[in-house]
Amino acid sequence: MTKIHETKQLLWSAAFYVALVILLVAVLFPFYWMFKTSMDSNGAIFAYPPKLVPQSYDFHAYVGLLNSTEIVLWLWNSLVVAVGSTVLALAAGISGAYGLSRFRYRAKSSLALIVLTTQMMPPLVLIIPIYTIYISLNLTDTLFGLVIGNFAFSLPVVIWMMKSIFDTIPVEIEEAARVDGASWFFIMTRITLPIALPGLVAVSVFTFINGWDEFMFARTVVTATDKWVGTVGLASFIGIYVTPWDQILAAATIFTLPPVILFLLIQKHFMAGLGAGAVKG
Amino acid sequence: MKAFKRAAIAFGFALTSTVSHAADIEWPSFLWNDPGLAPALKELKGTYEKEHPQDHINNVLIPVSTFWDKQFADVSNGNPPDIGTFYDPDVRSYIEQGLLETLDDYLGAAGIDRSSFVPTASLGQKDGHIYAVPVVVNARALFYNEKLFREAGLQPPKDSATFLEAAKKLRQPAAQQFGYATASKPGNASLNYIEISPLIVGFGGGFFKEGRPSANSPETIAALKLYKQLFDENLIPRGVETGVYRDMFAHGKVGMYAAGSFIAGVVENADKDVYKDLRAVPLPFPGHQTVSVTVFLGIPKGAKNKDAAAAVLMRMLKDDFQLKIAQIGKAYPGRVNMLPATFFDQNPWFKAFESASLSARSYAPEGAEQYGPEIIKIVSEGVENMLFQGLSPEETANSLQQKLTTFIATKH
Amino acid sequence: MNSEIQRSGTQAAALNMEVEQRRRWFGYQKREALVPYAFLLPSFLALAVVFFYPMIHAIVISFYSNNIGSAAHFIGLQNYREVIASDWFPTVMRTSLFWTVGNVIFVCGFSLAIALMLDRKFPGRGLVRALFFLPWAVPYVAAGIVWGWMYDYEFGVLNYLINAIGLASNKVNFLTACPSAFYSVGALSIWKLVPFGTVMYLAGLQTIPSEYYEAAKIDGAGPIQAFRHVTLPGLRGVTVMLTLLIAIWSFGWSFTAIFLLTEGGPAGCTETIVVRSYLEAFKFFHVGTASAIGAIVLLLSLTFSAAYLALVYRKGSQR
Repeated sequence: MTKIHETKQLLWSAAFYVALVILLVAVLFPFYWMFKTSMDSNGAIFAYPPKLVPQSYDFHAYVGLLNSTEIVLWLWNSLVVAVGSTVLALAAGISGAYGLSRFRYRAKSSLALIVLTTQMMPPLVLIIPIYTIYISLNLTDTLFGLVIGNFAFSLPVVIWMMKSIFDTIPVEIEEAARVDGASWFFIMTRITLPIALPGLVAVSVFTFINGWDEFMFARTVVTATDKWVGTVGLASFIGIYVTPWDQILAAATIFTLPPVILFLLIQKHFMAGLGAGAVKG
Repeated sequence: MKAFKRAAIAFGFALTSTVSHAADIEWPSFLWNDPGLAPALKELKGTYEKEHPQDHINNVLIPVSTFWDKQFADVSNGNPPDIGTFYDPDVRSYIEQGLLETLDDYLGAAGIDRSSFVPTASLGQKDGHIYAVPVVVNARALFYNEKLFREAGLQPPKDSATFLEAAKKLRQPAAQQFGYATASKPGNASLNYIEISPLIVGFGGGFFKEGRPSANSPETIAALKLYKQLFDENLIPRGVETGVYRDMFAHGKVGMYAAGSFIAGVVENADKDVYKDLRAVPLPFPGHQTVSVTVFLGIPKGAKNKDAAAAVLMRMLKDDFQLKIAQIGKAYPGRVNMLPATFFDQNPWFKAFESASLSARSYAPEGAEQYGPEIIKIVSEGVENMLFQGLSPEETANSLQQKLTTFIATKH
Repeated sequence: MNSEIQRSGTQAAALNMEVEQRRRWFGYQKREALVPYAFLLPSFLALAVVFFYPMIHAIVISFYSNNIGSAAHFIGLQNYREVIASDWFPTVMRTSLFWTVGNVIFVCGFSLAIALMLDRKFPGRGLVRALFFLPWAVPYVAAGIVWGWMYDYEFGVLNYLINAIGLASNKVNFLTACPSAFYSVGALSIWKLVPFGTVMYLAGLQTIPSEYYEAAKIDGAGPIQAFRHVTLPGLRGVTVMLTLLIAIWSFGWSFTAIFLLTEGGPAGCTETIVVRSYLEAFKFFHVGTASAIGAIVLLLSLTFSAAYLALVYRKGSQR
């Protein structure tokens, strides 16, 4: 009996690991292929069957990129935009989510739905009117304008995600402080937020990646080459006549690295957050 | 009083025209990293700024993959650049929408003969007014790789039969070598349309003629048949982007390719050995016609420095600079008879491009250019149905004819 | 003199009233009622500039003709009539619907499955979790470029691998046939979205008290029954939010995967309503038509979301 049970258990484990490995390979293969193609010489790309491993490790495409393009500046600009918009989105979004999670008032559910409506109109239709506003506010061609834009793009989802985190934290925790006469702002920042803090990490990752990844808006409001962000720089490799695949994939690899490194650095906190952030209830 | 006012205005006008203010001319374009044209246009910038020390040309590079959308967003938001860049159908639709300034007075003042422009320049004109001027005409010819032809024992193609034979002999699956290359991947509809135009127009066909759909003319059907055969027999690379198969041609993986003279620069940059074997002949198809893409420049309405922008355009159109465009850019300039015999002595291959540029038809749908983007979308859907969904060339042509007829009826 | 006294009298009365009003205004009740709005103010200010004003602007434009600039004139509902009566509208709507349903099902399904796997304890779990989240961190432009290259018919590695493994003897038209192009583009979209769903589900799994599982075990429930009766109900809140977000995004927002791989082709195979709005606005210069499409999408999404939320929460939510 136990033997059958044990083999069953073993089979389950085997199936689990097989499934895990297959999924993991499927998820990670594009990363490998991006790196591998970036190592090919331009002519070698047109080989079929393709070589599955790099044929040389001279990083020629990377050297070429660093020498002939402003890729470092683009990455820096992307970093400014991603970090700036994350900070703002968290500040405004936490307060907004708290307002939608805590109090009892009639407009609450309508306001929550109104926040969601921002995700319902094709962004391309909105870009021209947003651009009009930007022109009148003199925000075009500035990194500040990109920070503001990406902050607002992430905000609705930050509000909804933070609201669902706040919703899991029992109100009772706050009531004692309330009786002691503490202000709502004090309660939010000093009592509720620390409990929600780990969940906040996931939300910040979301906004950071949103800002890092944004393309359609950046390419519309930014003209000057020194204000290009990484996505616009990447698109600039698609040339008028030819597309240099080794360079474009090298640029894509470089551009993917910062968020990936960030991810691996904070993954401990991130995963701990997933465990601790939610209060059992 | 009235006379005084008029005098004051005249005086003011005289002031503004003699004392020109410092202008920061905004000229954002994808042309600033065009391998051929960018050096020529940077030379223009230098020349102009030397002659007008108070002015500055702000030559901002916009990636070509975002340029068209960005220019439209700028113009439609009342924030236009001082100089706009347009291809054949776009220039028509900008003019029809009344978005460009007329250049008549500037051309007159600069003494540029209006009849000296290349034939396709007429796209930049409406009701006798000139709204945009051509920088270069990119007429198509058939480039081929002489080395691959030699190895296969082939002569340059003279007609569609020898063309097809060459395409078949050049195809070597084991070496990933193809006979020809043209649009074969869904996606960028306007680029795909440009890419198949040499074949369609080369046969004497076209999707529009004199404002009427002509998708099921015998010539168009014949061209579609050849196109489908090339695709079905995998004589062209399938599902490969234009930017990639051009690179393949530049690396000697494609035997023949119909393109403008720009491809010479591309090949030279990619592979010097292949460049040595690069040859060109007129399109070998029965219509004995070719097609061109013309790059236009114009001044959008609401441009902040339109006088200075016009001065730049007029400088470009002056005889000496027309020659420079040909010399530096290796492309045929916007005005005819600007190239001395010595130029052709130094660049013998250019003679074929001159005759092609002067006889080429625009790739834009003839007589319906302002609806270019919509027509191109309809045509590329039809062509994609033919290549990828197994529709026959006749069915494709007839269904396209019907769709285009319905479409154009809604516009009149 | 008399009138002056009168005036000062009324002034005093007015002052009194104002003080009274202010007192009431700053009264505890009133102040308390304003607190939630104070919390919401910064968010709504930002959303007003970047979303609400442009949305209203787009809705206004949708009633105007397609001319650019001052030549545009009011034409009432004509743009809407033209969109709905057009020959492309039904096809595009159907594609959008399939796109949305497919994304919701596959993203939620894969996310849940992966979250359940990653919730188990096994050596190296932390690293494996991080690896599964990586697609989220790749910029879409970069992802689109490399996926396009993998799908390539002539040189793509996927065709090579499929042949090498023996799954198919002929090359697969990943992006050059319908409906395979639809699935190929969908795969990129799902690949990019699953990590987001996985994070949400993992967080949701942590909120289910372990006592529930113990109770189920005592009741003699096997793993499948425990999943049905404990895990699924416990994830209800997450599932509601995730399905809603993915549905709204896929229907009215997602564009990049399609734009980078096929731009709506082949022959309209991947042309969703969002792609169409892009073509109308930026390729055909029909700003009015594009705005009308945007308003239609908004209306449909809003109706769907309100109905969905009402349906879910009327049945009683236990979050």
